[in-house]
Amino acid sequence: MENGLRARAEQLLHAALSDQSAQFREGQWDAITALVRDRARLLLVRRTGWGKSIVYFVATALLREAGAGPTLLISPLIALMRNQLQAAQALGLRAVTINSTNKEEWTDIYAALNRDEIDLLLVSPERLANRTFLENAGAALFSRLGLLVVDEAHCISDWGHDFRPHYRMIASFVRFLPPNIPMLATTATADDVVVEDVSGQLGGNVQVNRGPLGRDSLRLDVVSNMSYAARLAWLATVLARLDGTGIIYVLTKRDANLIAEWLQSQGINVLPYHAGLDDADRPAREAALLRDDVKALIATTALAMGFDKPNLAFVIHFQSTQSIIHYYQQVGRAGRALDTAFGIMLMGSEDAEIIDFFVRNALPPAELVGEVLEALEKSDEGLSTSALAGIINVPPERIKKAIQFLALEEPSPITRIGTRYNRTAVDYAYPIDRVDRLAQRRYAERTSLLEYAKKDGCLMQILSRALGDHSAPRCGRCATCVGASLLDPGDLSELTAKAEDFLSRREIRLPARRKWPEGGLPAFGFGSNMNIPADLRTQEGRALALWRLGTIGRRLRIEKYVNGYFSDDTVEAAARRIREWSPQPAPAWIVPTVSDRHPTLVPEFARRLAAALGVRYADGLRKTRPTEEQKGMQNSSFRARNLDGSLEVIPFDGMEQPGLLVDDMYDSGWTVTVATALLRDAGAGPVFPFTLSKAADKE
Amino acid sequence: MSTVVEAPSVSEDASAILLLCAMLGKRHRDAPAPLTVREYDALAEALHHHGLRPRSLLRAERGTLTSVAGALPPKIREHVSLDRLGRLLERGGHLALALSKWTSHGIWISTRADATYPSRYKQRLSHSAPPIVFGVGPQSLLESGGLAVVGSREPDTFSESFTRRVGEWAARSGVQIVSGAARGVDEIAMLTCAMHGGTALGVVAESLLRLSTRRDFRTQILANHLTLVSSFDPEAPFTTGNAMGRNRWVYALADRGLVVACSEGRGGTWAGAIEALKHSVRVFVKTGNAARPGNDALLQHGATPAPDDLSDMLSEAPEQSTVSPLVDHDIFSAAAPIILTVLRKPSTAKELAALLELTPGQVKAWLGKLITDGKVVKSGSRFSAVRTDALAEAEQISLLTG
Repeated sequence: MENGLRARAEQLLHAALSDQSAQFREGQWDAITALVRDRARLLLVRRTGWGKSIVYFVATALLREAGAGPTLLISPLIALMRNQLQAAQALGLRAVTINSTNKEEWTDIYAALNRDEIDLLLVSPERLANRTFLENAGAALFSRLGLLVVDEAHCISDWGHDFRPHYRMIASFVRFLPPNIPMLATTATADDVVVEDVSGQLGGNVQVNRGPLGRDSLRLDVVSNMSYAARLAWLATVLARLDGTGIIYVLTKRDANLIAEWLQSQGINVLPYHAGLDDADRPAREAALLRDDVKALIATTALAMGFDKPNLAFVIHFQSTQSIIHYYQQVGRAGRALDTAFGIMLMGSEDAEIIDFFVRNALPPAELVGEVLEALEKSDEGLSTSALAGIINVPPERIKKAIQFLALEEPSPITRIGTRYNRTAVDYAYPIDRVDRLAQRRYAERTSLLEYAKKDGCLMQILSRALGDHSAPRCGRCATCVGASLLDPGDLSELTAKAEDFLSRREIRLPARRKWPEGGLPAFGFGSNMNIPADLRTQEGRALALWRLGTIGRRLRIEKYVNGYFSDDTVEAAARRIREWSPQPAPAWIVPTVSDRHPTLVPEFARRLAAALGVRYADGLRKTRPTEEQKGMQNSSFRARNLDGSLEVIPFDGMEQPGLLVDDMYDSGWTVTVATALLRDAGAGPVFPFTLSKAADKE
Repeated sequence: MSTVVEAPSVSEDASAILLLCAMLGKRHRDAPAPLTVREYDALAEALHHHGLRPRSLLRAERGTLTSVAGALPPKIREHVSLDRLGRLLERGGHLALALSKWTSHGIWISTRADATYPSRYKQRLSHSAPPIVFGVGPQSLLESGGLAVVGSREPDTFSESFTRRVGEWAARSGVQIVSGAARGVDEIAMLTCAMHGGTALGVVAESLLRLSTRRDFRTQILANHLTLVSSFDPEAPFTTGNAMGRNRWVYALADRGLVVACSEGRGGTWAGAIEALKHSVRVFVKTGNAARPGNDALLQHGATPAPDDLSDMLSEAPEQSTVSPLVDHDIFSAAAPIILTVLRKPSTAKELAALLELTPGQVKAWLGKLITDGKVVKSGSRFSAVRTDALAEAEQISLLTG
């Protein structure tokens, strides 16, 4: 019987690869028998391209031939997996997917499932939480699940570099799966700690099957100690010379847009890619890279696991990653089907701060979690997230994170009923130990990346070891092994100066807010209708610089906090920027915002700016009561309400004409939004906000 | 400060029982019907006969399954086909979905194969004990017995204020309230007792999942003053059948009952009280001018008028001679070896009662159980210990008393 099974499995392998002489790779057959014969729980840790899909395709075919129900394959990589589904057909498997892009096929797929005509169904982890899916697929799929496959299983571990909340639900699902259903979890990136954690989360009893993780085609290097502008220059130079197409990874959306703009200005065909893009733009840009229509995508990690381009020639990191495992995962996209590909990491001076922000905000703090629970505790009918944002002074996305964190605790102290969250009868204490341990682990991971950046040894060996593969040999191709930088851009000083200039001159837009905060601003009488009426909104505005970025951005910080006075250079730069912008209809006046803490800083600057532009200056706004510092207000509702009833308009001649509203810093935008609404309400013409700097948007 | 919360899990035996007996969410057209209590009971017997546990079914070869199914009594075998068993056991995906949802809401699961299974169900309901109990709140309350308080969903002012008095009295006297957790009398008794520092046990007939998040309930659950249990799926909607079905569980978990307001000859309160009385449970009923006519009618079926001093209920009840099934598990385990020692010499129930200073009812109950367990045989009016067991037990007892 054993021999019969193997013979049949080999037939299937030959069919899958269209190769009559194909043999199973080391580990594949073991994995298949464990699943089919022993109904085991198996964790496969194998590098991308090893053939994990062969294991579950052949196992599915064998199980189905023995009368088992269909296989459920859970993967975040729907797009990538679609090609694999075609490969499954070579084995005679009927493999389909249910996802948001093929709604028109769902009815047929559910019907086929009911007729037992589907062998394998591919869904995303989120789908498993979708009620409609569960009801429709439930009858046929869950009532006789034959095999469960969990792709990218490292996402289960919150130790892992890519913890995904929905995977917690998968882990719980697997834990409750009775032992008569086999389960396969696969990953290409899991170090020893993650392997152990994933096994534990899946309920123990998990066999681990792992192999070498090194990649033969990759040439690794690290370049340290370059300013932001110098790295822009480096990129422009290197991209012009490198063969093939690739990815430039950046940390924030702002970086993606800015770097793409710079490279475009240098004649390099690139596009930004981040989570802020439209749903249609993202696949279009992925496709552009797949077709080699662009030299590179300048991407945040939003371009993650779902993207597979075997002939990707380079992966360059403009900033370092959070951990060495993140780095392995991202750089590992390069050169899967090439003899040579480059993986270069640039170390930026700003990385540490941004990464620190990510680490600190990875899990919601105890106080916030406590506040959310207390608010829910006190409510009879439960609260929506926006209702919570009206109670708790924290940005809504952080409230959402806290909610998600709590919802995925096991057991969970909250549950969602309709659109509201309710407290459950589960006793709950904030897992301070777990959270601390996790933060420690994140800092340790960061340290391991900094160690890598020291280039103290073969880089591929350091990477492999960090992932628990201790047998990796020296690669002979990385910067350390060859004893020299892999890509030498030559003298960058001229281009660096140009990049500095670019950073200082870039146009920064300030979009108009369209909605009042939750609850409106009753003292001003605004917000009975959620939408801000068009005639009270700001026009699109401009900022001079991004806070702390480029020469001006850095200078502004010193002028505000050290000198307490904006220099004539700044006034000149602002006047130049406004002339270049030339808003229409042309502004006839300038009004400054008012501040309790820096009463003269902005008016003083605005007065000189008005003189430089030759327009009328007016103190058109007055504080009627002191307010808290906007910086201390953590969410939009609180920032807006902090201002409620604190300002009034001092009418001035000619105010019915268009004008400029000047402030030093644009963050939530509420100060200019509220001041504009008041001015417009008092009869002012169109108001264009202009601020010296704009805060960074973190992604 | 913080406690490490163990991720919830269920034993393999429990998984098997759930696969066989639980609805596991909405049932679709072609789905196999879960086993009834009787069917499961017969299957458990057949498994036991083969030296197997419920979990054995999850790894069983087809041959084993065939021979287990073959050992079922013919009447059961007619309905419990191999195909039905196979299809029930295939529902692992459903099981995993349901359990991950339920446990994430703090629901625990206890099956007849688990040590945590309520001993009162086992002893009092024996073969008709529900295979699965779902619950939220401290499991220990299932072992605390107490007073079953039942009554109308729409009580009048008189019944309502009496119910509150009962709740306060129970909290003060350390008597647990057991109820059907329905609106009206059930809920008032339960919450009043819990809010006054006592404990209460609610046997719910519908959506345990939703009820457990209700603010007044969850507050008491979190304070360890309230436990809600159910043997229906935690997301089951209300049905009259379920509401009627759980009455026996309410009485089984309590030591005695108190009917506050009841309509004559109909409704769940009436049916439940009659059933309890039939099983010799001591049931008190509130009487008096303002009480409902149904209450007086219950007296004719053997109920006792509730005393003015509620505490008198406590002193009266345990001595009740006809309380046969109300045997506390722990006292029984302690008493059994003593009875067996005495019964090395055959004696009548009356002699035994006199010797051990017990009521005849109590002795009869214990003897019945010992006969079921195969440790005592009856011949004529005399009872005697089965030899081998008696010797072993007697040695144990001599160690204890000597």
